[in-house]
Amino acid sequence: MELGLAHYLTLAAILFCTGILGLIISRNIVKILISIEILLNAVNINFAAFANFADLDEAKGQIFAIFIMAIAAAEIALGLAILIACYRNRHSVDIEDYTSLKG
Amino acid sequence: MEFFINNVWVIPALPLWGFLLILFGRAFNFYQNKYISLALTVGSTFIGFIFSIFILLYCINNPETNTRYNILWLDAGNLKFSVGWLVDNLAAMMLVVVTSISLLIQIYSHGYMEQDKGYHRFFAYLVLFNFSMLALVLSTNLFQTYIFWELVGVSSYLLIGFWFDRPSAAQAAKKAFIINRIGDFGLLVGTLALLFYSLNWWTSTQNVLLEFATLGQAGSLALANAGPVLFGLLAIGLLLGPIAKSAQIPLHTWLADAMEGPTPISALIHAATMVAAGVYLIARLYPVFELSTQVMTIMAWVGAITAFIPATIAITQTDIKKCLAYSTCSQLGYMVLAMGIGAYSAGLFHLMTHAYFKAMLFLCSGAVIHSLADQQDMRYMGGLRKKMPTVAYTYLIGTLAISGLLLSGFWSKEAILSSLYTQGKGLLLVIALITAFMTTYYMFRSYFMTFEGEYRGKAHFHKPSKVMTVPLIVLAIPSAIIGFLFSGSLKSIGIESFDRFVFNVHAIHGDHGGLFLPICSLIIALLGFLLAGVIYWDKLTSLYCSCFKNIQKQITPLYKLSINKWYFDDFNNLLIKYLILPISEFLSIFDKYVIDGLVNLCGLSTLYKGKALSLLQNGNVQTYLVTALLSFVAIIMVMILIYIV
Repeated sequence: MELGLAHYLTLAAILFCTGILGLIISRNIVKILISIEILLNAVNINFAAFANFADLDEAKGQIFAIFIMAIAAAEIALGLAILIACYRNRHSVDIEDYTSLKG
Repeated sequence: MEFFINNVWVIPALPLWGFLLILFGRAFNFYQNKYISLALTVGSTFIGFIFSIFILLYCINNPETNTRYNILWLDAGNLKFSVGWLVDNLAAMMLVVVTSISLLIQIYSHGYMEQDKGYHRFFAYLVLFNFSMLALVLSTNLFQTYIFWELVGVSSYLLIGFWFDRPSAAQAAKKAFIINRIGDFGLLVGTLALLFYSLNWWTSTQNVLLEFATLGQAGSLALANAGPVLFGLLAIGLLLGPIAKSAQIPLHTWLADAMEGPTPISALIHAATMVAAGVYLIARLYPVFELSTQVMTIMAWVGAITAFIPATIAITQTDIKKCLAYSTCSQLGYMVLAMGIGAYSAGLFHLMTHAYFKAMLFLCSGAVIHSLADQQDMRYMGGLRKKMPTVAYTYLIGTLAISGLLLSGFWSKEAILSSLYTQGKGLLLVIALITAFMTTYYMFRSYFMTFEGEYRGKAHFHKPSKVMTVPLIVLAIPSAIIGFLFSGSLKSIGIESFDRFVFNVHAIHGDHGGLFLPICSLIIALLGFLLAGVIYWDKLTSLYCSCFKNIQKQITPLYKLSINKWYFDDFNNLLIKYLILPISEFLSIFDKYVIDGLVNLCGLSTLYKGKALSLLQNGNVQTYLVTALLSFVAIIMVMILIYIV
């Protein structure tokens, strides 16, 4: 079976939904960060797939994917640092405990 | 001569500079010397006086003078308001009257106020008044007049309340200001209504809105647009301004209280110039008023009643200044009466003569009060002729003038009476003659009580200084001769009569023909003199017979009416207490709970809406996420639906 664009997009969509689901239902902040990574990777797959099938000459999508990876790495580093700082204060990684911004 | 006409703005501008210099000079303590304030005041007025004299001479030589100069002041779409200056015969006459009397009174004030600690403040207010009054006289349009009309009101307020640490003076100042506000309100509404009904005409054909020169045309246009009833109300609104400023009934009560101010102020503002501004404004607005006979009749009757009632009040006053104040009221009534029957020139002639002799009378009373250490009650005076002959004789000249016994008042009053006679206004003529009788009576009463007989007071007497008596002597000259000078009797040597100098085309002239009326008024004045003499002059009291005592008993109710000032103040108090205060309290409650309530409701509702919305913000990140996601999905669905449909 020949792998077409639709297969890649389907994979990306499944990954994206998994990420969203993880974001919504998990209470552990580490899990939430992991879900965000999944989301970003789903986007990366989309970029790479479209670059491969629709824009082979310039491959702008692949460049974008590399940028997103770099940004994701930076983001996860920051996110984990913030999480550690928060953990030192609250001794908890449960998102339900971090609601002090409520109106 | 052209120079003076073209630079007439100097006349009000100098006092304004004087005012600012005194104000800032004192505020920053640049000088301590009283003579600097005096020099600034007197100097500015003196230059104004020289200018005014030359302008008057120019106007006498060129009777058709009508120089106008306008500067655009406010430019708001169609409405273009200007300020500027207007020189015609009427303005020239007023300029000379105002500057000459101001000059003398300022010199006199130096003597009167020298010991007062508010010396500089007094002169600052005095030049401020001068500025406003002169600019009012030179106004080209009703808009500018209104500005300076308010400014003279303010200066009057400041000067009545000059000794503001006295509660009575502070009250009197407030009373004067508030009563004048009633009139100013009428004037403002009248002006706006006049502008409203003739706005198209002004904006399409005229450069200067509400200019006096074309007010007549605008008035007839407003009459056509508004109909006679509304136009009458408009004219009455305009008339309210002069009624309050010139102390006409029923807004006259402030003038007597205004005597709380220093006496030079009573002489300058509340006798000679500012109160005459009302009559001056009537003269300027004459083309509007004459369009409605009903309004003219109302004006005449207001004048007649004002001539009569204050005269009856003056009869029983024992305070020398109050007596003169009511006499001022009464004489202003004569002027308004003259205006109301169309005797334009006669009214203004009386304004001029009255300004001189009444200023002098007040200055005399000031000299007396000053010499007797602030004693104002005539019952504690008497016999002062021997102690201060200059003051006594100048007061006598003033008394003769106001009584119409051949000095200046005779000629101007005669002009009014003869106009009444030619117009066939019998009832008004009778009222005017009775008032003339009472005028003579109370003026001679005050003269006899103050200067004749024995001294009844206890206060230590000290002589008035030269700086106070010289202005009296100078003022006595115009008080004595100015009426005769402009009566028309001196035509042969080139001095025209007053009514050929200041006149209005539609106004009527009194007919001097026949000696009946002059002799009649002279006899009436003599009767008044005799009555006063019999009761108050020790040389004539031998004629006093016991029948007077019976009469006195019979007229007790009338006496009470007079001494209580016809209960005007009590009536006003009742009116305020039982009508105006409840209404304003109701309005204040309405304002507090309904208007303010609505405003507060707006604020509170926003506050609670915010509180309700903030409940959505529960701090749970996942809730936000779900909301965002669902909203996004909803938007996508809507877009798809739109795309399909």
